Amino acid sequence: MGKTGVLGSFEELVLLALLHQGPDAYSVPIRRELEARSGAQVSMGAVYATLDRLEDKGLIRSRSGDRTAARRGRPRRYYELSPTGAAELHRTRRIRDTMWTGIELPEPEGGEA
Amino acid sequence: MTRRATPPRVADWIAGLLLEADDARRLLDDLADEYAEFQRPHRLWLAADVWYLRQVLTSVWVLRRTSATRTRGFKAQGGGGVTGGSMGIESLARDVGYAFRQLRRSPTFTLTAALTLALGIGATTAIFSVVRTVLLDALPYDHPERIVRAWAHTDDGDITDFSFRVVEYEQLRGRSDVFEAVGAEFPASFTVLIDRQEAHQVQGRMITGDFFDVFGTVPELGTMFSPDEIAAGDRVVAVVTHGFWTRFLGGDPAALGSTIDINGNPFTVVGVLPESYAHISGTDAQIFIPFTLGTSGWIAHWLDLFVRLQPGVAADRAQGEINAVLDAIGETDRRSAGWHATVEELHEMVVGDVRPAIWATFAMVGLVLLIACVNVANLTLARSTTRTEELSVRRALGAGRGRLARQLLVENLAVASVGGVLGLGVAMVGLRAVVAAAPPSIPRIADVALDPLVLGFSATVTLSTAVLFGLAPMLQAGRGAMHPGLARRGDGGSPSRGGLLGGLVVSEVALALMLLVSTGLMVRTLAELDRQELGFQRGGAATFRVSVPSSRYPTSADTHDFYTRLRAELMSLPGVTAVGAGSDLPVSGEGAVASVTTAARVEASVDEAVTVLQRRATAGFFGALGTPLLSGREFDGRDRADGETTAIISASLARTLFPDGEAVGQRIGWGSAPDEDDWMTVVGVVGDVRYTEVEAVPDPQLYQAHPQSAVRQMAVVVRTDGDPLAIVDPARNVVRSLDPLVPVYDVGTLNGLVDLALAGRRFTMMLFAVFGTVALALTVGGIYGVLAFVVGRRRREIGVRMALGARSGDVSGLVLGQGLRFVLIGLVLGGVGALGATRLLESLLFGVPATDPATFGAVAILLSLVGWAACWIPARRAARTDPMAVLREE
Repeated sequence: MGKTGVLGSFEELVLLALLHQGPDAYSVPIRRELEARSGAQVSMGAVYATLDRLEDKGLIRSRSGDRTAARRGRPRRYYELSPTGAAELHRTRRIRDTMWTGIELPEPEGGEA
Repeated sequence: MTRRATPPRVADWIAGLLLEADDARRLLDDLADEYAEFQRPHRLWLAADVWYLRQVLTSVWVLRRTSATRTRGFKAQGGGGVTGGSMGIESLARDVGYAFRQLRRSPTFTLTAALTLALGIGATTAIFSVVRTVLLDALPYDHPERIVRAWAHTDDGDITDFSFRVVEYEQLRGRSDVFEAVGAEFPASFTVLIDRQEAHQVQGRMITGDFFDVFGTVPELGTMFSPDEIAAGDRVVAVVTHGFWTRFLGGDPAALGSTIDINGNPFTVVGVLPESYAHISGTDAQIFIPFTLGTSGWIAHWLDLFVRLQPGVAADRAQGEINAVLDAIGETDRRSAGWHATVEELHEMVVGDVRPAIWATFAMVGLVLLIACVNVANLTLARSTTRTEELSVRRALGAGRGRLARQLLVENLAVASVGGVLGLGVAMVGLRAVVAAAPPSIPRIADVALDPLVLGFSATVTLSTAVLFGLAPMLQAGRGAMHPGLARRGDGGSPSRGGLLGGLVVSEVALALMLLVSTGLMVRTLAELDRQELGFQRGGAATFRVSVPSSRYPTSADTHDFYTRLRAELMSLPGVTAVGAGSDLPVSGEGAVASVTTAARVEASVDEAVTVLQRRATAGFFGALGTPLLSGREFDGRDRADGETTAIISASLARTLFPDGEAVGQRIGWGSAPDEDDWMTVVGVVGDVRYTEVEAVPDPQLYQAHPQSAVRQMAVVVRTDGDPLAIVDPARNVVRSLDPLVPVYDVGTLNGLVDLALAGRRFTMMLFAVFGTVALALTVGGIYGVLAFVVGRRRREIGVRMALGARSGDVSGLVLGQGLRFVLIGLVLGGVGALGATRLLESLLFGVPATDPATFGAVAILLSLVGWAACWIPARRAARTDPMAVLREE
């Protein structure tokens, strides 16, 4: 990871969604995980763009799955976290925790985060 | 309810167009996975489609942007110089960006304009896809342009659109120099017995061996029967559709060669037609058997003829050749003498009936689109005035007039494209609604879908609207920009602008009048049709058909006995007031035709026989139909097979045959020169029943008593004092208890038959009404918008007037007067336009002239009232102007 350092917040969310999925993470469940946990609409295109960028940066690795009949015979692409990616996530979390330390923010109205 | 399992094709197509192949495939594969899960029962298909479309559009947006970033980054690294061309592109991109920012800044304007356009574009797109599939697409047969349908007619014009004789068909087959294939068919209804315990009534055709050669249809499994096999007439074989094969034969290839029980006879299945095959009639014909099995002795006109022409042979020539053959036969065979043929291209035959209505609807929707454009032009004009200052500043800063014009054009295109995208959604929803509501009489309506061609059309329409609604404001903008000093005052004093705004109101009112008059005429047509004297009581009667198989009821007596018992059992059901059976049901358009004469006519040497609809009826039929008995009696136990041959005739036939006196007791004979046993005695006269269609004055009718002319397939009419459909299940049980192997089918009500007959017109009327309502709403909005705008701009003038003593009544009168003047001019112009436009509707109208003064008047009054209401609100606001407040603003 270069000197610019911090993960983009959507990148971070995608990485976390990927980890929630375990070893069989691919684009469809990742997108759904993001939607389910954030409660916001997430476009498939945004997921691709981010996955591609993360792979370019070497934070994740991908492999082709088996061919399944359900997808007109085309294989799925599965993703997993690379060691660099794991390190980067830890670092991001540490930075974030540090930044939050000592901050007391009033709860937003309606109690929604 | 059946649900489509496939995502909207439009979205796939958009992705394919805008994304790299790999990206598109990855996206669509992934989305397809999720779409399948959306298709759960608790979800609406619409939700799944909207979700899918939205996913594709947003993903395309994101992916395009990221790939653009990558490309730009690469270029920058390459360090290439900036060329003039890319400068143009970049400034265009700036224009686009600026345009969208401008639109975001005035969301009310953007939303109103885009939604208005979306309505117009969406409706136009939806109806265009109907036009395309139903009217323009080639029929799904091999070289369909070479197929013609031949119709027989008598030279005296008494009989038209009729069928051919077997001998004629055979002679025509010999003319292979002109005809590549000649095929013929005869509609039939078969009782199919499945597993010896389940009887189903299935529609089919008795066909000649080369029937499918005409259409270029080849079985997907097995073979067709050859013409020779057909001619021999000894092979009891059948070809079935893919649908029949999957439903009744388990979709099993081993079913080829097996036998099925059709009308009590074992038929060998020799072929299965491809899944894509659709019978030309659009009806559900599922079984095809050789015509020779039933028609060996046929000498009358039975066969519906289809011909595939040799390449290069024109339809005219084919008609000449057919007639030459008919003439040759007629020389020795009097049954063909005096008959000739016309040919009709297949496409014309299939869509000819629905074409006027569909084009008319398309024209209507075009008017709606125009009104939408006028409305948006009006909005844009109003907005451009408030932006005069901005434009003047830009001009002062050195922007050329061309540059500003381009900027405005780009903004218009941006509004239009937002409208276009939303319009696509409107089209998707609208199209589904149209297809769901369409009557089955529209051919191929189920195949209608949005596809690239339709989208291309839609895009073209979108671009055109941008030009259309942008034209007027653009002219204005150029002018405004030339007088930067005046820009701030923004007084609406410019007469040309007032004229332009007035012109918009005038054209809107005119267009709306044309639309609403057309709608009104269609509504009156339906009302007129509903008032028609049909010759029977629509309400309170259930109908169904019953077919007794010849294997179990070999004689007329057996058949009649079944119907007698059936009637007695049905009569004993609670609530049933009358029961009868007839060979045909009203307004169903089917049934036999014959000709009759009288002794008096024969004596007077009247050669011409009278053409009649030949019907059979059991006792109680007229009571069940609700057809009045005018004199004599209904059929009853006295009409025995071994007794005197009797007939009941309709009032019009009684008038024609016995103009001078009582018909009951007189004798009628078949043909123009009846033989000894061709005579029958009239025992009753009943009212005329509209058998063919709701619109047509009925042909005279002649009923034979069922015992004397028993047919196996009859339509049973059960009249009850309650809900007619509630009697269906008990009636079914009655039939089953009499004989479980007799199928009950075509269940419905008399009312339903009439509704079905009018469904096409009602559908057209419904579309007109929807578009008329939209047009009315847009027009009201348009008038209101223009006047509100004018009042806003004349605020200062009004304030001054009031300060000088004008009363609020004077002021509101002034505004109202100005608005209503435009409305009135619009009504006059629209009236003139409507006089021309409704002429095109004439073929769709019934019982109301295209220039119906009542409709024109009613619509004019309606538009005046809503026009007045739309003017009144701005007028009242003007009247409340506080002169002091206005003057203080100065």
